[in-house]
Amino acid sequence: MPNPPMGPSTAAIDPARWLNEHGDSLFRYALARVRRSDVAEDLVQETFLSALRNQAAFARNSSERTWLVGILKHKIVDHLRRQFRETPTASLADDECLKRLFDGTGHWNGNPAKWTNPAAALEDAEFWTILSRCIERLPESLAGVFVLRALDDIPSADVCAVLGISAANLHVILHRARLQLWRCLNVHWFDGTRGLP
Amino acid sequence: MSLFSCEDANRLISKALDAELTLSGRLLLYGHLAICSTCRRVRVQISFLHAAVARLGVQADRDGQTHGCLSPQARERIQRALDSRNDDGFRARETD
Repeated sequence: MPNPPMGPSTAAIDPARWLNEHGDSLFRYALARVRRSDVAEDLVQETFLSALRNQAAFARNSSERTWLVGILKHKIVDHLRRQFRETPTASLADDECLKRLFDGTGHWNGNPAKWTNPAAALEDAEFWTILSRCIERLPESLAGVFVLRALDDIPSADVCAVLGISAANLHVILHRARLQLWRCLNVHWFDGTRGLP
Repeated sequence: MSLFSCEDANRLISKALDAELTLSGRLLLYGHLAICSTCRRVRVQISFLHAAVARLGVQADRDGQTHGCLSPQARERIQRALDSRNDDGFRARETD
């Protein structure tokens, strides 16, 4: 993508350059976490506007990018908290995925397959695309919790505090999210019939 | 069937990634894993997944990716919002 000509700038902070220099990167960061491009776009905009209002708070010893990502993180957490509050918890009662994986006595329904060479998958760009798609397909009731805990490696206790849920609920949600993801990767990557979900 | 099933073991496999298991939880889980090769295999796969997702979180911040850019429409909208706010800022300072 051609960059528009810009004069040299020596300022530590330069809002005129933000969109070009950080826009796409912040958008990708947000998209990986909120999974909807319209929401991610709004969060990027809110981040820039908030940064504009709080320029005085910018610490000279951090980079502009780090500072902006820090603001974006707060916006993302706010969004996930709102989303989690609006998700009916009744949907946690039943889980079709679990029902398919285990029989009535809690044993595996069919034998889960061996994964051939998972280490090689990490070097394959297509694997990461499929993993992202599998996360995108998680139901809303599981996604926010999973993203905070797994994608950002936020400690369990902090996720509970931020979203206002009990530890027991957290474990149920993460367990289900992981099994759905595991199943998705089995079907779309490790089964040999590779293809986007 | 045993009282502690594969489904139960799976719950603890996941929980162990987020919290420290109680002593009885550890005994149940490792007792089950000792006799169940399927759950041993799934445990390795779930751990692999856990690590991969964490790495994805770091990667999402990486530059140079071709997919996932702001659309021209979004770009324009954000630029307009930034411009109007910037003008407000200048005006506010001028009238101070």
